[in-house]
Amino acid sequence: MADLPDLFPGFARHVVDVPGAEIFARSGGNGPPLLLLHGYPQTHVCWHKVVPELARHFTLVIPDLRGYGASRGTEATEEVDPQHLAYSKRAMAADFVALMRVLGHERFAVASHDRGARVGYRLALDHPDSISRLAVLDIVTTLDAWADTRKETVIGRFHWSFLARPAPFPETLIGHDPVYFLEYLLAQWTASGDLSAFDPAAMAHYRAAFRKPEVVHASCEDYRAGATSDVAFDAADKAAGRHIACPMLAIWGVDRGQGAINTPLKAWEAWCPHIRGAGVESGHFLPEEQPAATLSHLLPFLLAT
Amino acid sequence: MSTLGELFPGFSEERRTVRGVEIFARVGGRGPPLLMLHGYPETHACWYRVAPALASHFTVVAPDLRGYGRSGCPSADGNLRAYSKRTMALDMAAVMTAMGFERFSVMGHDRGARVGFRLALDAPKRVERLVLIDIIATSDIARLRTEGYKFGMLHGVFLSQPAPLPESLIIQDPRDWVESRFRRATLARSPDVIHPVAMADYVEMLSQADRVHATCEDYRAEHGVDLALDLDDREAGRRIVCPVDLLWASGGSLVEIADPLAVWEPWCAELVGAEIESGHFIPEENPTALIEHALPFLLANEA
Repeated sequence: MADLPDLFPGFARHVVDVPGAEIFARSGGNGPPLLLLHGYPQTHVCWHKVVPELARHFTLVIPDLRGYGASRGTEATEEVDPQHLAYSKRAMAADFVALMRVLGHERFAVASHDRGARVGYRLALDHPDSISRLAVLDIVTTLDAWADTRKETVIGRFHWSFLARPAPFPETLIGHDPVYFLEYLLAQWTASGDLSAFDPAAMAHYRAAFRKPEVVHASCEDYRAGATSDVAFDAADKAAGRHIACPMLAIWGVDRGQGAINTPLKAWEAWCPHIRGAGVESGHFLPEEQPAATLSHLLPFLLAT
Repeated sequence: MSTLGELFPGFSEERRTVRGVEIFARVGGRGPPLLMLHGYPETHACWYRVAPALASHFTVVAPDLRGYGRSGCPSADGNLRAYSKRTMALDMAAVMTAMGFERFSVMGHDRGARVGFRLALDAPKRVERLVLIDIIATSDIARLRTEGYKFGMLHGVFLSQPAPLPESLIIQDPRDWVESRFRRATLARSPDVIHPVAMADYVEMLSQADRVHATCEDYRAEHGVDLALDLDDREAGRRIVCPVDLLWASGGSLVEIADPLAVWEPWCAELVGAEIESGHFIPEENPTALIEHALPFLLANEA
C-alpha cells in the first residue's frame, strides 16, 4: 500500500492488533474524538474530501473495516462459522471500541457510511456508554432493508443477495474482473451515473484493495453476515425494544441513494425516536459526491453538545 | 496424540507453593540449574524442543509463570503489583530456593525474558548468566516509540486496556486469538509450526476466564509498575551484572532497530548477542539455532 497516494498527509498510521482482526487506521486533527467508518466497496479514503474541515474540530480516527483495505479479518469458513459472526457488525463494532481505547479514546462520536454505518448503529446499540453521537449516511437498518421486498428495491440491492451466496461463487465471478465489478457498482450508485465524483487518488486505493482476493472474500463475508447474524441481532434488539440512546443524525442521498426508494427517517424513528435527518441532493456516496453539503449536516450535529 | 509430559521425556512434574501461590514446573536433566521462562500466549510447553536438549548439560527447571499454564492464578483485584515482573521474579527466585538452587542461569522468552531481566536486576547474586530472547526493555520501547519506531502496534497495547474489554473479546474465541498470535509473529505466518500438544495447552489456558484476566494483568502491569521500575533503575544507573546473551528474531520487532545490542548496552555490564533466523517464537521455530547460540554462552563458566 506504500505506493498508493497519501490522502491524509500528516496523519499518523496505526496497525492495531485486536481479537479476530488487525485494524489499519489513520489519525489526526484536534478536538474531541470522532470515528469515521467507510462502506462498500470502498476503504477509509472515502472520507478524504471532508477530513480537512473535520480535522479542525475533531481528533479523527479513520480505519478500514476488518477485511477491507489494509485491515485484516479472520479466515472463517461456513463450517466453523455458519452465522458469519467473524464479519458481523457486532464483531466489527467491538474492533472499534478496542481500537479507540488503544488510541486513548473511551467515548467518541461516530460518522459512518454504508456498511460502516451498520457498524455505527451496532456500536450505539452494543456499546452505548462508548458512543456520544452517531451519524449514519444513506442506510436503513439491515432488518428493515431485508423487509423491503418492493421490486425496485430488490433489483437495486441485487448485490446483497449475490454477495451473500456461499463462497466461492461471488468471489469467483468478481475475481474474473474485480475492477469492472467495483467500478460498475460505484458508478451505479452515484447521481451522475459515472465515476466523476471520485478522486483518481481515491480510485487508486479502491482498485488496489479490490484486486486483493482476500478483500473481495472478506467483503462477501460482510454481506453473508448481513444475511445471517446481523439481521438476527437487529431482530433481537427490536423484539427486546432496545433503542439507540445517543443523539443521532441520518442523512441520505435523494438521487439514487436511499432517498430515491425509501423514507429513511420514518424507518429510523422506530430505532431512535429522537433521530433527526435530511435528504441531500446526492447519490449514495455523499462524502465524495457532495462533501460541502455533507459537512453542512454533519458539523452542526457533531459540534452540538 | 501424545501428552505434554511425553514431550519432556525424563522430566518430573513439580509443584511448590511460594509466597502464597502454587508454581508448577517441569524439572529434568543433570548439571547446574537453568531456569527457563516462557512468554505469551504460552506456557512452559514452549520449551519442548529446547529443554530436553539442554537437559544433558543442565538441571532444567521450566515453570509456568503465575497466572499462566498450571501455576496458581491469584486474583489481581485492583492490585497493580499482583502481576508485576518484580512479583513474578520473586516467585521464580522462591521456587528455585525451594528446589535447593541458590544460584542459577536463566533463559527467558517474551514475558519470561522480562521476568528474567527483572530477576537479574533485583536479585543479582542469584543469576549466573541470562539469555534474553526477542525483547526490548519496556522503557526502551516507550522511548523508541517517541522517536518514531513502530514495533507494530502489537497486542500489548490492546491487552493492557482496562478490564473487562480485552478479556471479553478474547474469551469469545480463544483458539482464534491464540492461533492468530502465531499467524502474526511466526516466520511461516502459520500456527502450524507449533506442536499440536503445545498449542492445545495454550488454547486450554486462554479458555479459562481467570487466566485470560491474569495474563491481561501481566500486560497492564508492564505499562504501569514495570515501566516505573525500569525507569527508576535506568535513572539510578543500575545494570545487570551477570553476562547477558541477547538473541533476537530476524522476523521479529527488534530488526526495526539498526543495532539491538546498542539498545541493550546501557543495561548490561557484559553483553553478547546474535540474530536468529526465525519469527518471534524462536524456541519453537528455530530451536537448533537457539541451542547453538545459547549453549556455549551458558557453558562458558564450565570451560
